[in-house]
Amino acid sequence: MTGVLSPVALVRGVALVLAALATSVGAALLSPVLPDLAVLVVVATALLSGPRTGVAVGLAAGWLLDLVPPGAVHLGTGALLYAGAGLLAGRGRREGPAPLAWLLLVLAASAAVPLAGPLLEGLLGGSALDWGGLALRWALTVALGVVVVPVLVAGQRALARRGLA
Amino acid sequence: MPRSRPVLLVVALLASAVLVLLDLAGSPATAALRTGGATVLGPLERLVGSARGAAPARGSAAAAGPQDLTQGAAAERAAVEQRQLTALLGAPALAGARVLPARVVGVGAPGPGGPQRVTLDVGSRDGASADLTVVSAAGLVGRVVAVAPWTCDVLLLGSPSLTVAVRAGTAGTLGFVSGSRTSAARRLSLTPVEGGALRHGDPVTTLGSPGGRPFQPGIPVGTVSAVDAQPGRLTPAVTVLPAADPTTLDVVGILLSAPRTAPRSPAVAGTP
Repeated sequence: MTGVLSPVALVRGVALVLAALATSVGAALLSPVLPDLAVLVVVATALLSGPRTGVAVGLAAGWLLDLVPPGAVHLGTGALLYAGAGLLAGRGRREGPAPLAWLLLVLAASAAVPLAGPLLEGLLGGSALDWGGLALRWALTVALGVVVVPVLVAGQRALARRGLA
Repeated sequence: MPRSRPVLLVVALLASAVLVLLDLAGSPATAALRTGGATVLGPLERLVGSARGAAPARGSAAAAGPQDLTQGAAAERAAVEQRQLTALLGAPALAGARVLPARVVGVGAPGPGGPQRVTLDVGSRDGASADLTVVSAAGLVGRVVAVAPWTCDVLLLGSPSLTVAVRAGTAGTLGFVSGSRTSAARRLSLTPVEGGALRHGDPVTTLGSPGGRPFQPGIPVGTVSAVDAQPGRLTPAVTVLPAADPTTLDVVGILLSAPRTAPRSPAVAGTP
């Protein structure tokens, strides 16, 4: 890792911006319930680089989602939640080959962290919860992550091998 | 990305936590941050959101080439938007109002009961400003809460942060509508200010705010879908089915003036 604007960092940044835009615009174009693309980038990075980088990328992803219009209802909540997802995924990092079931468990747990925001808001505020919508979003994220996260990890590894990290 | 220093990470996390608290307290600093983000990222979102095309009809897909499909999708999309705009401008509740048409180009992260905020492709350059009423052809959508030059953000009806004063039923019972607390998601709770004879199917409309901000009067909010007269409570628990479905919003309008614009003539008391 050589500097702030290393190619890997640029790729991660572009991926996060695209994920944030796709999340907001996609919900308007397709359906309000879509997989969480940003958390997949965070999980892939954290699985490769550990909890510290996971938290940093999670913070960046959360702030992007908080600021891309219309943004979060409470600014900063996305940053904290995605940092939590990055921390969890980073803690799940294993040196060498990890069992698929373990990676799936880490992905499923990390993908659930951003949903803690609306869950807590609903439970503490006494609002009705759209359990079906939240569960579907989590399931779609995990299902997509099974395909996308290994690709993102392999892509970042390939860049690192070429000395571009 | 460099290996992040623990101290910097802790500072960033603490700063985020402080910003959450500032935002909850309604600090202008966080509003400026939102406006900055919308000014930079809004045009990009507006561009991507406007470049959409409707799915072509099944029968025409096999025979048409890729260019025909794109043009056909764009034409179909334009026709759908035209129909929605015609329905919006023809809505009886909006007769006489100045309406700024807009399109939903972004939807925010889900809240407890679904989406809470959406982005429209109009901003301060188009005449949008904070605290204006947003409607669809079906009824009330929400209120404008943040404005950038190219886009504006709308807090949707049903969000826990939004409460609307309403009239309900033929007797015009006064009350407040907010996000549902007791029933299923995508329903609203109506709290009458005093006991009233509300029944299933009664219409619920906005009471209106001073100066028409944030809500103009007489805009359909929904219809009463359940009335639960609970023992020991002064008022019944009333559930409202919203007139506008926040999950299918597309073409909406920002009300720049009240629906009724003709001056009201004074009357002399004591004369029938």
